[in-house]
This record gives sequence, structure tokens and C-alpha cells, in this order.
Amino acid sequence: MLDPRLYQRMIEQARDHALFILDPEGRILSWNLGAERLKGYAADEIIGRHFSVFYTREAVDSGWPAHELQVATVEGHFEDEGWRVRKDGSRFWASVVITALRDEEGQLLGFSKITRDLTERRLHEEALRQTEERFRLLVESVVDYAIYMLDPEGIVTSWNSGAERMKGYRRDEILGKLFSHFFTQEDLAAGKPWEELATARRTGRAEMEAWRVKKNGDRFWARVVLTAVHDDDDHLRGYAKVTQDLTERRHAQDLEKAAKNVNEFIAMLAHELRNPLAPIKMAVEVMAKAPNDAATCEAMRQTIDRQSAQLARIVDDMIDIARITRGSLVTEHAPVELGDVVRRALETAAPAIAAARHALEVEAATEGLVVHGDRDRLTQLVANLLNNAARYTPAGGRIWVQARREDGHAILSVRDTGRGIEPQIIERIFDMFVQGRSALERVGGGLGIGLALARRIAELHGGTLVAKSDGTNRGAEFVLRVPLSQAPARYETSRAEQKTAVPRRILVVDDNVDAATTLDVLLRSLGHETRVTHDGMKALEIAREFRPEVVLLDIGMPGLDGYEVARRLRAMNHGQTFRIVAITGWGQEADRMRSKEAGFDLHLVKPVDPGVLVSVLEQRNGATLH
Amino acid sequence: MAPKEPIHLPLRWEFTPVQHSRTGIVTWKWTAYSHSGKVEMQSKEAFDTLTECMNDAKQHGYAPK
Repeated sequence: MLDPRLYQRMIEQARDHALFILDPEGRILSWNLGAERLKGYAADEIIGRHFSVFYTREAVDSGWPAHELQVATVEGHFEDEGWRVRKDGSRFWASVVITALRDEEGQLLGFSKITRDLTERRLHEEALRQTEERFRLLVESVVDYAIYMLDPEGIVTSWNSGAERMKGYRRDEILGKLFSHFFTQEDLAAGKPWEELATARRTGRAEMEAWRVKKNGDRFWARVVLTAVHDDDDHLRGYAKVTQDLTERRHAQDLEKAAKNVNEFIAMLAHELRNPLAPIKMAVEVMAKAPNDAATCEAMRQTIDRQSAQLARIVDDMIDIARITRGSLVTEHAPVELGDVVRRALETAAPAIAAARHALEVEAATEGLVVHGDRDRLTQLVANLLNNAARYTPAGGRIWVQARREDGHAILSVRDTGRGIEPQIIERIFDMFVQGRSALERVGGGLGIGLALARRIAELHGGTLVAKSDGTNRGAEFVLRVPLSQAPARYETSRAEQKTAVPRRILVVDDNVDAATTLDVLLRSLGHETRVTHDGMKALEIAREFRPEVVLLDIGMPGLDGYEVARRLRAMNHGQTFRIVAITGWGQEADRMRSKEAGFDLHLVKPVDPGVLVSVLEQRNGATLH
Repeated sequence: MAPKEPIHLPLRWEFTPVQHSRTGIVTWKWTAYSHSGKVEMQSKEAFDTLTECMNDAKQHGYAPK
């Protein structure tokens, strides 16, 4: 058996631990070298004194030393860390273990007390805590960046004031929620949140610019850096996420891009206007030189007819551009058979398809595919897709049109063997004024707004229009998806079938002599009796005597403008109903409203299609088309 | 083959340009296929324009009533 004196020597000479014994009341009975070094008392100075001398005044006042002994008495031991006081009054951070000492009968003999100085560790921890606190305050005070942490599953675990300001969520609202709350529906559907986490986990960092969503649903353009955070054992602890709101920069870039697009558009517009104007001018000269050559005149007339139709299409495009830009593109809604739309669109696009000698396949289970929409606008949409396919497919290519039913929707696909679309511009081709693909030939002309208009029309029908392509020279496919309607389709009787020839007395008022003359010639060729004037005051005089049934009245005239003429005509009230029709270059909604207020029954925008004019003249009563 | 009764969609309608080797003139013909890809009908004559070709196809079920 080991000599008990060895134990005593070990205790007395231990340097790094204060080891001493207390009697049951807490008075010090023994003292070792470590205790002397740690607390500064010599054995003869401290033995016999109460151990509370090592405690701070606050601890003594709260009865803490007695509490320690009480716990040790009941539970056998007591452990604690806290500030203790040396003989010189200085403090140190102590780890204390008090153990109750009992004899064989369980009688309390006293307590052993082991104290270690952990001041250095404590100071290190405190320094670390302060550093973390400073860092936390720094992060917290940043308002221009959203800085927050995610756990490995993407749950938000911290939130700074910048994040609150940028995204609109308070800390208590978002902590514990998935970070996918900040993503758009499209990105969610594409699995983007999990893709970002996977990238950060795999490479340590994911960085991107994308649209993000605020609490109120608004979008903002964000630059996001996601960094994986690992512990010392390289276990993933979560992700640090820093988000910057770059919406203003994005808007500036968009404006710059828009300005560039508009400049390109103006250049293209000039080019597109010159194209039909040149043959018209030429045709007029040819007709002037050979006025009696009927065959030549007829050929030139057809040229002028075709080219002026092209000019009218350009004007229509420009009107649509204005409507899209203002967000005032409106559609009528009625049950429409998609098969009817497809075949009308094919008829419209037939010249473009034929000019490039493309083979055409129509595979369309369209009977019964009824959508609730605007037949003319849907036809325009599909015709735009077909014209696009014809334009961007080298001559002798192939175009497929397919329609089918799928999940309560009508799906229409227009596919071609053309030049395809590069992946990086596949979404941009739907932007206004962007010519994503350079046209092989400008079949059918137009201003290159076809796809922007087509997508807008699709959206107005609650549908979508998307482009697909495997890349350059791999062809392209445009897929329209619109909800099906339950109601049966309505078929309209064509305007031509509605026409009946009724001669009328018509007064033409236009300061543009050529416009007035050609209109006069057309009306007389249709059997109507006409009077023509180029002056507002004169128009009022003629009206008193001629008593027209219809007045075709220009608005922008010098002197008495069309609005005033209309007002005075209405005021004359010569006892017979008559209709006043505006024929004007001003086609904005505000212009229509103003003409209506001035007393016009109808507002037609130049160039007026002769068929429309005939139809208007056949209508006996009331105002339409305003 | 001469179609007797109009047939209706769904079918695959193909409109094909044919360039005559000697004259270089392009004419158009149409062919209607069944779901299985079998030729159901085809135009009896060639047309100068695609529009005329479509109009003829309408007489045989391409267009709605």
C-alpha cells in the first residue's frame, strides 16, 4: 500500500491547482503551494479563515459561498466558474470544484476544494466574444446589403437590417423560413434555389445576378454571393449570403439598351418606308409616260396597291408599338375556334412562305379547340410566327404547324428548319425593337415587333409564348399555350358578304388635295354622289345646301379644324340625320376620345382600307368603331 | 386519286412547292395524310400560288365549314 505521506506531498507541492480543505462551516483547514501561488496568501495567513474571503463583495452579499457548500452537501459536489479575488484584491477567473467529504457513517467532515485559474482562457473567450459582437454589430448596421446566414438546408438563421430594408421581412418573420421565399416563380419552377446551394456546396461559392422578390411581391434585380461556411472539421455549417440591390443600375442599362434599340428601330423604319415608296414613285412616273397603255397602267396600279398595303402594315405596326408601350393593347373576347385562327394566319402568311418556297405541313387536331379570345389578334399572333419562320428559314426550307389539346389548354407550335436562335438571346427576341436574328430576306417587311406583339397577345389571353431552339442553324420552334374555352366558337360573316350597294350623298373635307381627290374618285366609282372641299368654312356652306348623309372629315386642317367643323355641323341641325366620320392620321386613344366629344360618329385612321370605308358607308345608323 | 367526300381535320396537310427543272417555275401541290402517315388525298393539279393551293385544299376538308 502506498505511503499516505506521498499523497500529502503531492497535494502540498501541486503548483497549478489550489487544493485545500474546508471544515463543514467553510473555514480553511489546509493550504498548498498552488493555492499560495494562485491566491497570494501564505498558509499561516489563511488557515482558519472562512473561504468566502476569495469571493467578490457582490458574491458574498448574495450568499453565494454558503450556497456552494449547501449544494455540495446535498449533491456531493459543486462545480462553478466565476470571478474570485486574490489577496492583493486582483480578480481571476476560476474553475471551482467543491466535494463533500464524509466518514463511513456519512457524517460530513468538511469539503475539498480544487481551484484552477482560467483567466487566460476567459480573456481569450471574451476577446473572441467582443470580436464577434463587433462583427455582428457591423453586419447589423449595414443597410445597403442584405447579409444573412442559411443553415445547410437553406433555412434563414440570421437577418440584418439591410436584409429587412431590401426584402421587407422583419427578422421574426423570416427566421426559420426557407430562403426560396426570395425567388421568382419561374426560378422556383426551374429549381434555382437548390441549384445555387448545390453550386456553393460543391465549389465553395455561388455568384449570380437575377430577379428576386420582396415581401410585397415587387421584384428587384439582385447581385447575390452565396458562400459555403465549414467548421474546423470541414463539416458544412451553412451559407453566408450577401445580396446587393442593383435595380437602379439594371434600369440604367435597360434604358441604354432601349435607346440603342430605338435608334436601330428608326434606321430600320426609314429603310422600311423607302422600300415601298420607291416602286410607288416609279409606278406613278411610268403611268404618266404611258397613260394610254392599259396593260402597263394596270400593272403599275397593282404595284401601287401592293406597296401602299405594305405602307399601311408599317403604320399598323407603329400603332401596335404605341399600344404595347402604353400597355393599352386591348382585345375583344369571344369563343374562337383555333383551327379558324390557324387557317386565317396561314392565308395571311402564304405570300411570305411561298416567296421562299418553303414546304408547309399543317398537323392540327384543331376542331373543337375553342379558346376565349380575340380572333383577329390571335390570327395576327400566329401569322407573325409564320412570317417569322418564313423570314428566318433559308429558301426551300420546311415549316410545321401543329395544334393539340393538353391539360385544358390549346397548344400551338410553329417550327421551322431555319437559322435557329442562339441560347443567349432566346428571351431577348421577345423584346421590342430587337431583331434577334438577321433576316435572310425581308419577306413581308414589318418593323420587327412581331414577337413582342405576339407574346403580349398571348399574355392578354392568359397564355404564354415561348421560343425553343437547339442553336444556330438548328431551326426554331415557337409554342403558344392558351386556356381552352368551354363555349362553342362563333363564326363571323365576312364584310364582303354584308355589303349592299346604297348610293349616298357624301361630303369629303380634307386640306390634302391628293387625299381628297383619290377619296372622291373612289366614292364616285362606288356610285355615291360627292362634294369635295379643302376648307372647313367652305364645308359648312356646302353642307347647308348639299345636305350630306355622310361627311368624311379630316381633323388636322388649317383655319377651322375638323373638331370645330364637326361641332358646327352638329349645331346646324338641318333636319336630317347624318354621320360624321373622321379620316385622320391621328390614331391615339386620346384622339378618338376627342373626336367623339366633338360629335364625330366614327374615327378612321389613314390609310383607310377601301373595304372598311365601303362597310362604313353601308351602315345606316349609329356610331361604331369609335 | 380523286377525292369524293370532304374529309376533316385532324389530318396532316402538306403544301409543297415543286420547281420545274426546265422552266424553273414553281407550282404548288397539296397532300393530306392520315394519322398513320398514309396518303389519304392529294391535289389533282398543280397551282401557281400557295394561296390557290390552299383554296383547293379547303374544298376537300382543309378549311372549316
